[in-house]
Amino acid sequence: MRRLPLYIMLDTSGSMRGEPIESVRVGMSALTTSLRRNPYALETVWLSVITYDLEAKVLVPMCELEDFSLPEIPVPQTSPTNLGAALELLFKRYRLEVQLSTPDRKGDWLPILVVMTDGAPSDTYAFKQAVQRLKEFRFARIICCAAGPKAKVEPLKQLAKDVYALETMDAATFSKFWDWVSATVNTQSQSGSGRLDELPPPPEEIKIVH
Amino acid sequence: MDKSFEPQSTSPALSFTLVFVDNTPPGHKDRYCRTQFETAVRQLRFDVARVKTPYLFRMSQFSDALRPGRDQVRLELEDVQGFDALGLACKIDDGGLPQIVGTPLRAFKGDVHIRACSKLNGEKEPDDFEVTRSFEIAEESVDTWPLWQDLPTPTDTPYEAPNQDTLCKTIPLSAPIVVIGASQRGRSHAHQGDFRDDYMTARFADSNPLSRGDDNGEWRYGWHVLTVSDGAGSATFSRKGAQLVCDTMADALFNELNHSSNSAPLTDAVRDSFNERWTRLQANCFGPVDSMTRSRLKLGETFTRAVYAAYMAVFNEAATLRERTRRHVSVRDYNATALCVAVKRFKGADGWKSDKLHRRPPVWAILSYWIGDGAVAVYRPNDENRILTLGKGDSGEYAGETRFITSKDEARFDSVEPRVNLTFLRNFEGIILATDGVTDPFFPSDSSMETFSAWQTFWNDKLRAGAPDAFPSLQNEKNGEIAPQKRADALLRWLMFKERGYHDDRTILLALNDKLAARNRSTANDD
Repeated sequence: MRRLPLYIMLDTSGSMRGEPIESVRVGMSALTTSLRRNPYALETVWLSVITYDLEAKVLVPMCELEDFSLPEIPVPQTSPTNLGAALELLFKRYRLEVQLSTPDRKGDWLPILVVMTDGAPSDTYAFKQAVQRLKEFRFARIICCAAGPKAKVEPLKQLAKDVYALETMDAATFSKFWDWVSATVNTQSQSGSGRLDELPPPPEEIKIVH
Repeated sequence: MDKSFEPQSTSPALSFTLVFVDNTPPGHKDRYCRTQFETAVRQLRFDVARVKTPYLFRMSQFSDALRPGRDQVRLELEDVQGFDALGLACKIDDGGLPQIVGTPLRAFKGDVHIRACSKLNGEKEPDDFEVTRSFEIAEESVDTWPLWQDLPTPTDTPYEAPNQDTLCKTIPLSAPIVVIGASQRGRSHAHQGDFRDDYMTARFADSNPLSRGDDNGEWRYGWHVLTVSDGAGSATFSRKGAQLVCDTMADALFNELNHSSNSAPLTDAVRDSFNERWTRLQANCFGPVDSMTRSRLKLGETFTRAVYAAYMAVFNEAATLRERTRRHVSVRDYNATALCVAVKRFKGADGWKSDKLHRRPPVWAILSYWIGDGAVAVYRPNDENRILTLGKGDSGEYAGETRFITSKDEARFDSVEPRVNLTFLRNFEGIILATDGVTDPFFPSDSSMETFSAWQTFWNDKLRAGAPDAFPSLQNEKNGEIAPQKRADALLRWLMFKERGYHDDRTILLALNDKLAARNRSTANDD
């Protein structure tokens, strides 16, 4: 069976405590609910959640959409945003989990990556290195989301061409973002190799920074 | 009795004993294998199974403990318990590796007790040990069936494409060949109201007898051409691309092989290469067949022209649309794969002498060209049970990655010639051209597409059993044949089969030899 892996990287640095992380949680469950309504996503999407603060952790290892349930997301009091470390962890998981075609096995679809942050990478050197290595790993699409007024767009632009900026971090805005992500994943799961111009346009609350 | 009310704890504990048997003579023992065996047992972790989903877990890490070609070292299974009740079997496979296989009947969550011991030259070693590993069978998957929608295609875009298509034709020969084909829009496309991107077509030569009347009537029938194409899901106008590729390739090949000034020398070259091969075979003389090289060269050129024609057709179409709509349209928007087969029956030759060397039987010449995924194959169970895959599919590292005929580089002789295949067969039961929408669900890997058993399952258990009306049995052979159109319709109905995760457009085009099929089946029943 061919799978469509979806990696979601969530910022759990100190500034996410309280309402922001709760909004993310609500948004994530809206995402899975919406994906579960799509038969094709239900049959192909596998997802994994990686959180990062001082250290990067695999919150949910790659599992079928059907079996996915989001646990509590622990957010430490104060902690840096080690996005570089998170990317390194992602690369490790990618090597482990994403199946390439071999004569005896069928490969997965190109994975989708969603990166969400409300700040800027603290481990700048590690981040720089990770950005270099990112080229080795192919993704069908990388969706970067800069959430809130303090989020820095520049570093994220090294990961993906377009960065989606959320001006506020309230539940309503987040849910719009996740709705849009699910629409994107749905499109992707159907077309296999989707094209940018076929994607649904993001809602007004989301600004595209080119 | 409803078994679902039984508490799970009553289900018997799962257990088995793995025995490492080493019968190499003392002094030649390889301590390494024994260590590897132990490591493999300790590293064992089972994948999660799912109710009603076929499960296969090969404990491949044990391959390090086995030495290829040394059958004195092997693994044995003893005291396998509890797996039957779950619908699973724990056994040693053909490769000597233990595996758990089957379709789980019910959910389970518990432990597997694995006992490992070794037997050296028939004597049990005292170094037994036990490990316990968790094993889980998840609940049955949610039925996604009711969620699929069937939306109509938009009307405001260029290029129409019907959601379904069928094709049928009987080629009247002493053993008639029936060509039936069906193409169906995939559920993933229907769910979004997208077009069917597959296309198929055929050109038949029987109504166009060639003017040359010599050669014992050998020329009465020309080459029949069958083509199938799968438009890329990522390309906006691939439905048109697939249609253009199919039609242009079919027309170009049909013309080149039957009508153009090249056709006579080309067909002569093909026949000569068979004659030479046959004569050599009779004389037990092996080695490269010179005329084969010559005919390959000619065929390479012919197919290159056809591929180039297909590329140009797409190129011109893109240019026209670009001009008309003032939008950015490129050849890539028409990306499509191509599967082509040309067949011709050569009448047998009595030869000018009645000796064995110059007499040859009638033969089918099968020409093929294949780029992209899907499959072109000849099914002939009577002939050493071999499947003949005519070429090799192109699949990338990730799903959905393949090659397209619409890439400019593919229209070069160097790219086309290796993809051209020329085969001579006394007989065949069926020639199959299918897009990946049909092959993907049934062939778990590229290598399984080369094995006969996988094709046998596909042909008998899936295709023939799934669409019985498309394949007349002995019974309705007696009652008169089923009209080809009815058979194509049956094939189309079969294409709606449900397979979780596989919802691409599906197209299959078959050339069937019913008489041979009936004979094969009747002899099979006699056995």
